[in-house]
Amino acid sequence: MTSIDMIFNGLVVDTEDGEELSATCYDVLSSLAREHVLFGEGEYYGMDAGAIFKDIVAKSGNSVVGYGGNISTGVIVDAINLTDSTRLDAMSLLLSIINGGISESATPYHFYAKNGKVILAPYPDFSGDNILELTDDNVKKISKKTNGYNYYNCATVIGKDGIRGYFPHKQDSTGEMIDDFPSNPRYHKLITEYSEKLVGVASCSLIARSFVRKYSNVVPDITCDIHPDRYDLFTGMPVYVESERYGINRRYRIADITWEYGVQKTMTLTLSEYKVDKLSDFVAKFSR
Amino acid sequence: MPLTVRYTDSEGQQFEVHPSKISAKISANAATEITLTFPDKSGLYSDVIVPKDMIEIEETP
Repeated sequence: MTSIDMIFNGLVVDTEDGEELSATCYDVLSSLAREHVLFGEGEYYGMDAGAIFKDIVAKSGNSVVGYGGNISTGVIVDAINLTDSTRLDAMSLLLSIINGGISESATPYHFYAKNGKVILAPYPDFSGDNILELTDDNVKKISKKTNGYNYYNCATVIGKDGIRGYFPHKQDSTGEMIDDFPSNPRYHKLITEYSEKLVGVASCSLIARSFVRKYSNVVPDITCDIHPDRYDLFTGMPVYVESERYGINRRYRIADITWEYGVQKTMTLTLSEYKVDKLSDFVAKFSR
Repeated sequence: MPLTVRYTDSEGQQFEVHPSKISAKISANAATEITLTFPDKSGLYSDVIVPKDMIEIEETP
């Protein structure tokens, strides 16, 4: 990314006028959070989740310039009804299905807005020029937070008419999934919020898999206060932290960014891990 | 590097504005929130900055 790239493009949403005037602005994803999938437009059967995602964005009546991601993710949604969801909620649900459906070694997807377009794409690889390197020279302070309360090793997702998808789940001799509550449901998450949307069992299972994939590792989030010398950082960006002072030497991705540009300039990054490669280990351990 | 903030009103007129502070919250798979603060005791910006108008920010080389 060059220095002349736009770092924000959005609309003024709120203003507050007092001793000073403040204007709160959001990018195009905010518009999609305030618009629903219309009646008659939300049912999809046997389609690639990326194509559904694109359709949800393309049918927006708001000023979305376009869609800039890959259409094909290789993850087929058996049956889903997104009617009455906000478009942003529908996009988040499809993202969960995609990340539950991709192979264990594949890079997870994310979505973001850039120059008025919505982009769905895998996270950038840990290679090339995209990596942000943080060392004791450009880090002011690091803190770690480990949230073990959010650990889950299995999930059940309830869909329409009480259908259930599980992860982990067992298959019969033909490879078809059979209804089978996890045999050892410690740290079990029951997800009921999509009961009107998920029409197919397979989609329920993908949501469950996506959830377990995300929450079956308890790793610390790292919060870094850094010297703000660039404002083009984005969530999902690979970061390599090499800090002798804090004893950290590993790779992360940016989860959240806050920055302030004024008399004082500050920037804080929350970094987290997404250990896809651990999923197979976890499943093997669980089935023993 | 300094930041340039461009404002486009509903009639398509574009001009630069100069907030005293810009703050940002950027979260994964969610809308980015930017807050611009203006020292507006003179009312210079009060009639100009209104909802639905467009804001663009870029780094100035």
